[in-house]
Amino acid sequence: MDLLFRTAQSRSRVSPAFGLLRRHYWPVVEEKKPVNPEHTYIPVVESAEDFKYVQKLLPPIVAPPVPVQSLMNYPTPSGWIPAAPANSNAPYFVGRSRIHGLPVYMEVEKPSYTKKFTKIKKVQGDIWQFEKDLIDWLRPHSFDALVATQVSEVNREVRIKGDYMEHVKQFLLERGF
Amino acid sequence: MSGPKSTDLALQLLRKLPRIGIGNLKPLPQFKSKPYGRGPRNTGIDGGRNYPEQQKKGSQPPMGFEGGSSPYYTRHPVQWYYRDHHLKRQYPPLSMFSLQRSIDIGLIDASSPIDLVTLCNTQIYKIDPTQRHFGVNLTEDGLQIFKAKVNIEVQWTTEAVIAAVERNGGTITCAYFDPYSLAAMTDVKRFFEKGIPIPRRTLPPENCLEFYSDPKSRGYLADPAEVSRARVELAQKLGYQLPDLTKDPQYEMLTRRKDPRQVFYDLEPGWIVNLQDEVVLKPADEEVRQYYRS
Repeated sequence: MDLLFRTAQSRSRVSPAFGLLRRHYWPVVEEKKPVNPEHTYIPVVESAEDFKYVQKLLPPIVAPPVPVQSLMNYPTPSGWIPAAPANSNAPYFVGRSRIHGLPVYMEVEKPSYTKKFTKIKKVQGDIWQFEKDLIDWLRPHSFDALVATQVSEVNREVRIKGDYMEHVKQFLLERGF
Repeated sequence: MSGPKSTDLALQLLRKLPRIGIGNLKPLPQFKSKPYGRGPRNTGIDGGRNYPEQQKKGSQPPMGFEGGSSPYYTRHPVQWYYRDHHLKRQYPPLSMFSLQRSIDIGLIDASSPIDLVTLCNTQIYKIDPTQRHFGVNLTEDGLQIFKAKVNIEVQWTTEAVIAAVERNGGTITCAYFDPYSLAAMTDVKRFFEKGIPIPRRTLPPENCLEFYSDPKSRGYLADPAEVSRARVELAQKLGYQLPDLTKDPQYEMLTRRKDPRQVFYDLEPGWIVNLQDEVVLKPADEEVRQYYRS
């Protein structure tokens, strides 16, 4: 990396380590040294029963399953609705996220942060038919009956210009996705 | 008998390779563009400005010098309005809606006490203690739809949030954690892998000691009797029926509190966790134990 200004590191002509600006809150643990019988170590008691409390604290690797209470009584207080059992009639399928949410996201164009896009991910099957149905659904809600979309077939995404989050979510829930 | 030709091998390879895109093409070395404004000599560590005699004689320009253009550290003036910003505590917000949603989909288990460790383990909420984040601020957004009965421990909250939690039969506490403890709580696995004793939590600094001792904000240092009185007063003030906790089957879970020196539930300060052998090491020396328990 070129240095356009002089710093303390450039004196020694080695590559500057900018990544070392890290605060340590914990003590730096020394490397393993041979055990010296002359040193006195604090006596320690091992306990395997208390390890179950540690296991409760460790984070799960996979999201836990949805409780039966929410699957029976929906929409839940926060408005969550589960996905309906899949039917093979539809030409497309939109999967849920890893935490069972609808894959509809808001994108904002940087650096102006003024242009908004609505993105629908995880669209499987005939994505072009999905785009057509989506445009027909959104046209009444758009300002000038035009819905600008961009389909990314390889990434299984459809992007719409503007903020259509709630309408898209309604579209997906009506179809049971 | 002729073997596979180079064209056949190339076609076989092409079938297996991923699709070509902008991201997986690389120009040949001779077509790589050089850094702007720099010829072959000035692409080194010092940009061709630090010749050897300069280093030997000590006639180097001052630190931060940029060859004549305004150095970065003098370009922007210091403004009075952001003084001490680097010393202020920050509490990244978590809405009640988010909390309710996490409970609905099973990310958070409402049948056991919720604290910062539980929230960070969901991985939808994160804080960075190195950025002066001192915990979770439970905000009022989603207060009306909040229906869960929880025992939650936060670091900052408002009266309306306290009322919403208590109205549903839950309990809420505001507790302070120092950055050392927060670093352990936000990434529990990483901390246990270090093999460091669980830290002893310090008391809050002067400017927030009052907040954490106030029963109105359900501070963890407040008198429990005064907290009960404050619960009744808040219910009367805002006009809702306060459920009786003593008659609740989950009474024990709802009234569980951490010791002011304790960081994790059920684990004492001073203990070391051995993830490999699945044991917990406790100090047997009386002096050490007294230190961690004081």
